[in-house]
Amino acid sequence: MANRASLQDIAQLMSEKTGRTKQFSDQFVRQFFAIIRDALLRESYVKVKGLGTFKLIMINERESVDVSSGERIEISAHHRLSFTPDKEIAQRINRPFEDFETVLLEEEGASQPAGAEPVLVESPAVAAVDDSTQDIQVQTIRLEDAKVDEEPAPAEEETVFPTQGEAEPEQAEAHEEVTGDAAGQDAEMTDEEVYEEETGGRKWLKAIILSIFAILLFIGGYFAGYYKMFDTVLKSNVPVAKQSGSTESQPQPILADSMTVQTDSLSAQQEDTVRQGADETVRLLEESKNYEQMPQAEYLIVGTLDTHQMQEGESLIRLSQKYYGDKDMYKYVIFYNHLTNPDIVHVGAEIKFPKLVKLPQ
Amino acid sequence: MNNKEFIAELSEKMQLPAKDAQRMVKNMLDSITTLLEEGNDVSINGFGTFDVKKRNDRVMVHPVSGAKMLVPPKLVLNFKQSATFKEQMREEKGVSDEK
Repeated sequence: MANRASLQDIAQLMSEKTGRTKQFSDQFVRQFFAIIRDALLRESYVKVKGLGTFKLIMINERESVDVSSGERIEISAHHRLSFTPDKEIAQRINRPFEDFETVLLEEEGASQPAGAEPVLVESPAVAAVDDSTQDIQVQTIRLEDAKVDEEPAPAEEETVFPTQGEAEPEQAEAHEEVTGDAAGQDAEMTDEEVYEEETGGRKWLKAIILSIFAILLFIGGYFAGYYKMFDTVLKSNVPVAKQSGSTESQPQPILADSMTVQTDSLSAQQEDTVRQGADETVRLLEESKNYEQMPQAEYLIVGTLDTHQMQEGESLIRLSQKYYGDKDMYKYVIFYNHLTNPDIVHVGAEIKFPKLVKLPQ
Repeated sequence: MNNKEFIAELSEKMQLPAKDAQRMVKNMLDSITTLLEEGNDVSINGFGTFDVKKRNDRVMVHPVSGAKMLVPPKLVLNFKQSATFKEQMREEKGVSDEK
């Protein structure tokens, strides 16, 4: 980036912006730096708002060795001029790199950092899974209750299974996403390099890169707003791990409590689980027949969860986030309410939120 | 010398109201930044050169927690005093100047 711009170039740009004559601008720039220079010769400190601080640092005399002759020479005391740019200008200069953040490096193997964004992306999915498994848990528990406890302990056991099963693939997925994004970051970096090398006359390249950053920023901001980034970043990492940990530890004491029933072989228990799972699927399917279903939906509508009166400033998406922990669920809400124009929902409108159940499989 | 004193002196020399002077300064700095953003070095005769330098990304160890952090690359504004200005400073300030 070796193009040199001089005082005249500054004056040129300035007069274009202000409409003053070039001569005046030229004069102004000259005067500006002359004042800084003169002030630095008089005092040791000049601060200019928007540019930065010039400071003179006293360097004491010291002895050194002449590199070529090897003689001892004395470097006399002198001043060094230090310059610290203002925050404002530093930020503008760093704009191409501004959305990189300092990240914590993972221990063992994970050489690439997991940025804030990749974690964020998976968080709603995790939340959704949590919700749906919870729903299923509730269902299964009820089911067991209705059957008048043949085996109270396996009921617990059973509710645990789906959680465990779902938590693990989710974790794997999370891992994939992280590495995927890391690669993406790499790609961005190379973009940067290209930008640096070719800045010369290729403004379009710069424009493209800038717009990519703008889009990234927008997306980042969008997600941050919706998922309250820092909450979920913290949560999403912990619960997944915790869940699998706690589910493993949970069944143990229960097993111990009801040893009498539990001494049977595991295979019998699993068979039972499968059978009951099938029972429940049938039950859910039957229940869902009472309601109109969304075509090709992941979740079944099995009733009304809640009826909500729209307030000023609320949106279906945000309410879905609140009710289901996933904003994508708004589709079901629209479908369930037969909204023809979901972009406009009037204040005071009664919106029914469907009870959604994911088929356990 | 702080910003206020600086603007006062500038407005006096240019015979502009201080407000206008401040606005012109802002405008000028904007122009300089634009030039820098386009990848130019901005050199002012008899004063020095402003240029943009890239600081590479690096791994930093947090002094307290010992956690390893990856510090991203960044672009910084750099200033280098010109030789004539340096010379001038040495002559006028002298070696024995205490500050």
